[in-house]
Amino acid sequence: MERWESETQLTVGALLPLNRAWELARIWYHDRMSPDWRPKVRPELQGRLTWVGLMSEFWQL
Amino acid sequence: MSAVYGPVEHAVRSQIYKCFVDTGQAPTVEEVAAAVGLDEEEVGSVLESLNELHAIVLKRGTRQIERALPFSALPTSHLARVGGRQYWANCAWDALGIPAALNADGEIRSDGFAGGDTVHLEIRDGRALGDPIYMGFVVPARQWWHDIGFT
Repeated sequence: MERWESETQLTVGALLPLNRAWELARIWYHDRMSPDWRPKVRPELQGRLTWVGLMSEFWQL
Repeated sequence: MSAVYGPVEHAVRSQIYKCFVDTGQAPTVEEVAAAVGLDEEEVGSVLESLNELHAIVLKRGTRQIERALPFSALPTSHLARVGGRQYWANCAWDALGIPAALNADGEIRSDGFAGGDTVHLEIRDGRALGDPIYMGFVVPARQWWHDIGFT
């Protein structure tokens, strides 16, 4: 991570291992193609982050 | 946020996603208008509403569709291949979002890792396979929509 931060001059706020990043992608996007999709309100989206255990200040919407 | 998501917005959004899935590209206002049976001015207004609702992303100050997350119309270094088609994603994590959204197996190639390394991942039977990488998130969630192109 230090190498990436040095190369990009950016600071990483959160780091997820692949499997957890995938779980977040699944819960976040699983209904994106659904014919019943509608815009989500903040508590719904926060619930998806919580579902995969992302509850720190960094993940607060 | 005052925009309303009704049947017209739903039809336009659905057409945009259909175009992304079928072609990997965003449709133009003219193409959406022809597909949903509205005039271009109506479609343009709906696009602005969808942008306000964070249902799509327009190029700032225009009615040009840049993204319908996790899909990107802009070429990036984050690619997902699903069902024989190739799609650009905004970031490595959004590339994972493409097989997730399509509920399909897929392959990911991302050039955004340390040292310029290219990472290859595979989604198979609902599991992510590949090198034991970590994905870094730079922007706190509350600020994502300040510039959704950079998160």
